Amino acid sequence: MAPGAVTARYASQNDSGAWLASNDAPDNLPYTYRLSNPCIVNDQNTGACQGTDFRDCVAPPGRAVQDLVIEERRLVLADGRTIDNFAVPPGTAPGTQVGPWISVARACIDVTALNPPPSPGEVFRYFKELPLPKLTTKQQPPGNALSGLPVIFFTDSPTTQDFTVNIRGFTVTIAARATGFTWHTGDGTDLTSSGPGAAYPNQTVTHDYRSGSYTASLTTTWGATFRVNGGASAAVPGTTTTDGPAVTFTVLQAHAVLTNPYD
Amino acid sequence: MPAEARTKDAAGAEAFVRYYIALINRTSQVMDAKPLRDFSQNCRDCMRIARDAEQDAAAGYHYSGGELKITNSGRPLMKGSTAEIAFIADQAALTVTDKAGKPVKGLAFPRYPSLSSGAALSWDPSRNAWIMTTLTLG
Repeated sequence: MAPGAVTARYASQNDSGAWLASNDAPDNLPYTYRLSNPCIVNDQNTGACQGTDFRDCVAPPGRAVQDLVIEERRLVLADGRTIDNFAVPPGTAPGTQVGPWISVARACIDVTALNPPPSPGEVFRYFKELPLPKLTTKQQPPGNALSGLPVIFFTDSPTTQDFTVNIRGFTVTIAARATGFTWHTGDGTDLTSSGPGAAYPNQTVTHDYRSGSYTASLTTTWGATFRVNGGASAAVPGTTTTDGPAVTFTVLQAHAVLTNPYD
Repeated sequence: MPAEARTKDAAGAEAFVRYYIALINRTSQVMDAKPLRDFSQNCRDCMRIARDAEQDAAAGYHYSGGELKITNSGRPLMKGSTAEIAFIADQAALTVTDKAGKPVKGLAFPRYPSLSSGAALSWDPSRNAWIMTTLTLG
């Protein structure tokens, strides 16, 4: 069995053109089927799949629908011949696969009946629905700020979280981590950072304001890796975002101060 | 490539498949997979064989045994510029050894007799030759 492939006794299209794979097949079936990830079929250099190689297929709840390449291979029938009289080496027994695999199509195929492990795309659909943390915005100075003195932004909310979900009987652990931070300053400016920022004196995210009242918040971008039944870790092919609660503060016209303004 | 493998007919298609199998056997001896790439296109299993050989060569490994032999075949199915053929192959037992000549753990394989196999070819007019587009062993 070639790596990255799963066999199915039967694959067919319904009247709408949708593909369905199963291991229930009519008797004396003329073909057997192999379903492979397109990147494994096409890649000639590394033989490895990237998360971005997978197209997202629409799947009804509880169904596994994957972007796959369908290949078929002739079977020797009970009369010793193949469906199209393709020449079989003498003595080949009925039921034997003969000849090369033949590419049929690349399509979104319902493979639920094959009960395959969740694909990265399927895990991504679950990932997008997880109750990921909504990170809070902290600003310094606390309370009112002063114009002319940059406001520091950071979050001390957890930037990683693990989840365990059941996908069609498979235990899938998803390790989510914040990969991007977009700080909505409230004056029309958005700042981005790759980290959660830090409090004074180690600040990394700051913004200068004119005097006024502002509402700031943080949008967090989340990525993740996943394991199926404790197996090898793989990347979830995509990200999602959460919006944290807003904080409102006033920036006052600066006056002379005698103490550390960030206390 | 032998002349008999350069004809765009059933005999040429069968001769080419036998030639390609000989190239695989040669790759196992000299650890050079370039000919497998040169005479194939979009052939997933050809690339897998080539890649494995190249990775093993880079690790200083050598192959002992593993020769493929076509023992029987069906008449090629010709469709314009393509051909398909079914064949039976025996693969000899294979041992992979390291630079010191010691067997590499986990890389010893038994003999596989009577592998029901197949190949799909495409005629390349620019080279006046067949190229392998699908190789199925077992």
